[in-house]
Parts: sequence; C-alpha cells; structure tokens
Amino acid sequence: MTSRLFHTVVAVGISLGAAACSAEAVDETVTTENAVSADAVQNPDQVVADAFCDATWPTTKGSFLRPPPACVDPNDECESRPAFECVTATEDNACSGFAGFYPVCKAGTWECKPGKIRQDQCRCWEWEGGSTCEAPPVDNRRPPQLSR
Amino acid sequence: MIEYTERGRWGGKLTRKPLPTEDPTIDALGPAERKALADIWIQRAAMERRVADSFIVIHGALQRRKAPAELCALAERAIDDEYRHAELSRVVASRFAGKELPAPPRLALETPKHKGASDELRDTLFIIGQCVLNETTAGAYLECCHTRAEGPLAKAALNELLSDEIDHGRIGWAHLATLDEATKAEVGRWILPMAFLNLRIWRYESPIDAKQAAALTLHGAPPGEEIHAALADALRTLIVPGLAQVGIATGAIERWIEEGASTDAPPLHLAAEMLH
Repeated sequence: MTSRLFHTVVAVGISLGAAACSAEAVDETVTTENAVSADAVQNPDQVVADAFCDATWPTTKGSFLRPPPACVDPNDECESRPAFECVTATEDNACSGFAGFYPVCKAGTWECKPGKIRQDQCRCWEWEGGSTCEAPPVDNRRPPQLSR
Repeated sequence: MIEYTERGRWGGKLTRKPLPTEDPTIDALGPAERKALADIWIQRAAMERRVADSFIVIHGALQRRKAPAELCALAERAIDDEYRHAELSRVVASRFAGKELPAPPRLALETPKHKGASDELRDTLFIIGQCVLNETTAGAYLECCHTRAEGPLAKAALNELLSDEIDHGRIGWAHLATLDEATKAEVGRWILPMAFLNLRIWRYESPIDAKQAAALTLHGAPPGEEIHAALADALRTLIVPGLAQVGIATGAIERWIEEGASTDAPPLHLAAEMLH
C-alpha cells in the first residue's frame, strides 16, 4: 500500500528539490554557526528535553470516536455500541432540544436514564422558533430537517 | 463563507469531479451511525480549516528560506486546497446529517517552538514537520480510509483529499533535498522528537474503540487499530527511507521503531544520538 505513496510523495518530492537545486543558484547558505543558537550549544540536554515537550503540527485528519466513559457500561455487558441516542422528554414524551445523551447498559441492553427517552419515541418536538407540542402546524414528531 | 477561489487547483470548483448526488448506502445507515459519521466529518472540516493556517506559516517559512518559486507556489496553492477540504468535509458531513450543517468553529493553531534552534533552522523544521511528517502521514491515513471505504460519497471525497495531500507532502521532501550538509546534520538532531510527537498526536486523534460500528469503516472511518498500523507503516516505509535517501541521520528513529515506536513516553535513552 505504501510503496505507491513512496514514489508519488517522497521520491517525486525529492526529485523536485534536486531539480530546483540544479536550476537555481542558492544565494543563502546556512552555516554551522548560524544553525544552532548559543543556548543550544551550552545546554544541549535542555534542548533535547524541550524538543520532546514541544507542540507539534496538528493533524489534518482524525476519527475522534473515543469509547464512551466506562460508567455507561461498567460491567462491559453490551457487545456493541447503542444504535440510538436519548433526549430530554416530559412524561408524555414531548421532547425538547437537539442534544443527545448516551444511554446506559443494563443486563446487556442499552436504556435511557430517567427523564430521557429514545429519540425515535418522541411524540413531538419543541424547539425555539419552531412548533410546539400544543399546537403543531405539521407532523412534528421529528426535529426539523432542511432540504439537502 | 467560501474561502477557496478561482485561483485554486480547480479554478473555483470544490472538487476535480462532481461528488455523487445519490448514495443509497447512506440511507441504509441507522440514525446513530449517521450522526457518528456526521460528527467525524464535521470535525475533519474544522481540522482541515486549521491546516490552511498551518500552510500560511509554511508559505512564509519557504519565502524566508528563499525556496524556489515552484515550492512557494505549491504552498500557496495548498492553502486554497485546505479551504476546499474544509468545505468538502462539511458537505459530506451534511449529507450524513441529512441537513445543511454550518461550518464548524475555527480551531486555534499552535506551532512548534523548536526552542534552541536558530530562526533559519526553525523555518526548515517547520517545513519538515508539517510537510515531511504531518502531510506524508496524512497520505497514509487517507489511503487506509480510502481502501476500506465502499460508500460512493465517502470514497469520492477521500479520493479528492488524497490526491491533493500528495502535493502537500512533496513540498517538504523537495525542501529537504535542497539543504546543505550542515543543515541536514542539524535536522538529524531534531528529527526523533519531531517524529515522536507527530506519531503521538496522530494516534491520539485516531482512538481505538473495540466496539466501533462496522458501518463507519465503509464511510471513511476505519477502526483505530487499522489506522495505527497504517501510521506505523508510514513511518517505517515512507518517512525513514525518504530521510535516509536525502542524507538525514535516521539511526535514532530506526532504533525507536525497532523498540516498538511507543509514544507513551519520550525515548530519551535514544536522545544522546541527537547530540552527536
């Protein structure tokens, strides 16, 4: 898999630099005296320590799917991650807000904590500037979705 | 706000090829899977936007080093590329969410200090850190995601991202090839901690969850274990051989890799080689 990347990124990149060197005269060189500051020469151990504790360029990509806190499944009873989120709801399943909450695992089954229900069990949604459960203008059992 | 312009790679277009307008594999996903993928891709949008800021720094460093015009032009185009990548990732996230998502909040950029290095060397270390290490690693990451993806939208988006990242990595390798021997020797003293920190943060941003839903792999988010393997492979088969080819001392890095390339703690026992 990586041999193709070696050619396209590394090898081609190096050849680009070599071609640039042969095509243009370098009018500034970095001498040994300029390359290292006086502090580094006097205290190389500190330079090394600082180097390992430096900031680094932030990654360009990521996946971010960290496992949930152990408290949601303390006995590791649920084999897979839940297929739903829990939302805040009243006693008659009127839901509000868009923030989802992680369910908890009990005896191998994911459940919502008291005061919260599965998102697909909401009777209706209430949101600021939108419809209310008392006077729904249209079917509002789901949060509003804009057109794709 | 659209930041990429007609001066960019595709003359103002978001992608080289139009993205698929339909993707039935997305419709087949459950709500939790769709939300997870929307969250992943919108966070990627934020990270891509931050990388544009990174390349602004790199462009400045190349100009100060009086790098060839072609390299400076590549870096300038890379800024526009990252603006497109941010918007591309937002579009993909919106498709998974089933609604238009706003651009995510900007992430702050913190650049390495390279304390103890001269200003001239720091510019070179910037270019090596961002392009040789970070972008080359990104290429391997994307190749892993692309190989495992099957959803048409994710596959197309990853292909677009990967094709641009190739140029971004080349900037660093080309710059390395222009360095004189004295500077290469200095770079050799810094490369181990830079590689260590780079691998550590890539691992951190790709956490392992043994119970991750299989569907996520099909849409551009393979398991952390596979990504970690790709990261280590990139270091061993891309970065180290490339460094050796241009004459950078790689003994300390090679020994670190032989010992397992752990990022739990700095390999200070190998640091002595950095000073000789």
